[in-house]
Amino acid sequence: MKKMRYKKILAVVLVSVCAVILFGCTGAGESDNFFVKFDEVKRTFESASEYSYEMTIETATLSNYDAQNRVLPANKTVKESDKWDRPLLSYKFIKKGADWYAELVFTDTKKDENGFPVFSDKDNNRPEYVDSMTAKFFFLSGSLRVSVNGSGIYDGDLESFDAEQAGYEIIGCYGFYNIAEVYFEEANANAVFFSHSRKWFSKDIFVCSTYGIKEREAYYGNGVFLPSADILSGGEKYIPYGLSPNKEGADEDLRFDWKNIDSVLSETRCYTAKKGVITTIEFYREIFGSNYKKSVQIWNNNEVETWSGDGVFKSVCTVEFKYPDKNTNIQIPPLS
Amino acid sequence: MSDAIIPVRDAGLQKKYLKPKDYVTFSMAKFAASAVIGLTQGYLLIFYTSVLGVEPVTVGIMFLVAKIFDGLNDPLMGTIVDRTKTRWGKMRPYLFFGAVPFGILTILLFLPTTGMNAAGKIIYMYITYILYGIAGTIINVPLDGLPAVASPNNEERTKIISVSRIIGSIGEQSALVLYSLFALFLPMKETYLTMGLTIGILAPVFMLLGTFNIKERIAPTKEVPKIIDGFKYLFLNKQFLALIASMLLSFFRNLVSAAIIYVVTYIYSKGSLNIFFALPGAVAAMVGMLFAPKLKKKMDSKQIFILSTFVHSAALLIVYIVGFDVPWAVTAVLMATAMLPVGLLNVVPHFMAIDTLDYWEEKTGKRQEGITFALVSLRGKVSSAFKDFVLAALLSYFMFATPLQSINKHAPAQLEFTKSGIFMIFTIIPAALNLISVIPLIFYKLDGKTMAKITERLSAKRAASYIGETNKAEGETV
Repeated sequence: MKKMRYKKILAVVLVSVCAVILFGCTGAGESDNFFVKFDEVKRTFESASEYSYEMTIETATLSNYDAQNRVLPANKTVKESDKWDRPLLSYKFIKKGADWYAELVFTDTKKDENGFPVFSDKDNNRPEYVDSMTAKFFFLSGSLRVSVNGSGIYDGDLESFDAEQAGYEIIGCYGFYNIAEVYFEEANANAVFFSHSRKWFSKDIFVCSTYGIKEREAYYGNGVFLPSADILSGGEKYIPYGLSPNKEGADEDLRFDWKNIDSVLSETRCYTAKKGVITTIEFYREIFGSNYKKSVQIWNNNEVETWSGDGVFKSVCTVEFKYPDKNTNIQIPPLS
Repeated sequence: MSDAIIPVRDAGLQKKYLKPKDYVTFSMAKFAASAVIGLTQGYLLIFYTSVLGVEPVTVGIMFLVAKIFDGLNDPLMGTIVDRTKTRWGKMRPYLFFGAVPFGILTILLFLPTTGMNAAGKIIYMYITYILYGIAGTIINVPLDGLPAVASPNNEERTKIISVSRIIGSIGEQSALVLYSLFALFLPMKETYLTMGLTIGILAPVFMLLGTFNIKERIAPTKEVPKIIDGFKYLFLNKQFLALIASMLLSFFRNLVSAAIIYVVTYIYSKGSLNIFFALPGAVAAMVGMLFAPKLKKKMDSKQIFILSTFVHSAALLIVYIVGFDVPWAVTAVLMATAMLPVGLLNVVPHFMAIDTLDYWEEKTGKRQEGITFALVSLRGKVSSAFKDFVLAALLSYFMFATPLQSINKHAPAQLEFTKSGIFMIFTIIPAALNLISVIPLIFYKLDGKTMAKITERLSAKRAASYIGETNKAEGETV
């Protein structure tokens, strides 16, 4: 009788262990609601008439990466230390009905005669900065007024304003419109690498990651059909990785043919919402540049090229939203 | 002095058998074995997830299966050792032949198999970790048993066990020191590989030195308990069952130390801070242990356990409320303070286990130390398995991002939700779930008053038994 009891206990333990293994292997319990939640939150955002948000953007660009020849600074003929350009940018937006206000604060790094950032330490960890530029945009009663560092530079209708012509290219780069709208554009299904969603008490958190590949133009110069490049980043065209012939594998096994591509763009967007209303957006963007390094094989003295991908650009953007309630009043600041 | 096996009846001789170099070299062997344990328990999960890019839940399941399998192997190894007869003794042959494979497997665990596909990595992970567990059992079971047979002199045995345990606990922190050093100069992948190589090469050397030197001088007399007998005893001795259930459920508090490496790497973005979190915590726990004798005079073991559990949870709650948007030093100091009760939580269950032994002896006349501590040891491995599984499952839930292998030094950004989740695993989650370990103690009745009565009755029984045996020895029947 006792033997039977112990056998039953052993059987229960074994079945439980097998159940746990199966659970882990099949991923049961992890349903993907990303697109459902995204659509819900997008509708709410687009229909909201009053809100404000503050955005901080940190970027880092490997300024001395030779993108043309695909060589990292450490592998150049004359070796160089990495020179990461890290300008600072913050953006504030307030919407009240048809009126809106935007404020952009940009602090660029000091540049040397070659256009590379200047550093105050020998390890190139501490860049030097120039004075900040603050641009303010008031869109009131259908008319736009723009000031930079307190001086008015434009007063007229929205469509006629040309930031570059006004001498402020950076405004043109980051826009003076509702930047958060960019993060509600639909992701190309062929570019989606993964999407997950989680519920944490009253919050819904959903994340989507996409990859794009910038193909070598020369590769396609021989009459090979170039798939549609509909992911743009910094003016560069990226093909959804799902359409590129220069990748293989999936999930953890995704690999790229670095010799035949220029770079890979990775974008991850994470949305946090409460009761269908967006509260935070996190946006992570990375570019991995193809590069090669030459080395000599000891056993036969042959020179070989090894191709790989390394990070050459990174940006982290956080957007925090506020809505009118008993503690928060959404107001456009007075003209200045 | 002969090194032949000395019969047990001569055990307890006052003659000195061990030389200072025996203490030193054996302690080096314990140091080495503990260094390997510290390395794998502290850094293998983060190596698999953050370097090899294996999904956390996959790693967690592997740990759960492998560690439970490993826990069940210990009594089996005990039986094998018990039946071994060689001219070098019962235990030393396993250490001689097992040390080098143990070192090689340690290195293989940290080999960056980044060129393999996902399925290949998982298969490699299972094979190497299970083989490592088997090699560890082959090494550690005899290594733990060796001091008990190294000398017929009780005092020497106690001394070598104490010294080697202290050195062993220092050895467990050696991986922490190595990590803090290498992380300053090397990227993640190379740091873990170098740690694996350092410990994997040096550990067998120290182990071989220790075991070559020390001799087996007495034959072990205690029968190794069978695991099935252990389970039978567990269900008969309900007080011990309640205690084991409580100890099993207390694995949640080990999430704190397991999460440190993730906190420093992904929240404070500096892996080298690991030593400033882990070491003060370990020291605080040891300091807490020193309060045990004083507290035992005012409270019974059950009260100390429950109070320490609540104090530890409250302290972790404070760390959570303060949050991680503070300088890392603030979090480190608060966490070290929160670890003070852990010293008591590490030592008090041992007292409670002894109380269950007394209870059972008083009730049935039998004393089951072998089974009790074999099950306590098995519980330790099962708890460790659950801890790793729960940590991995939580990392998966909080969407911990693993790197793409085809991109050099890929360190994907961790979401704010993930970072908050890591901090919760470090604080509020163990704070809340560790309280569950108190529930089985509702059925644990061996409080101070009860134990006082049991001790009194037991002393009387033992005294009566001693008188009877003494009179029998003198030829009188009582």
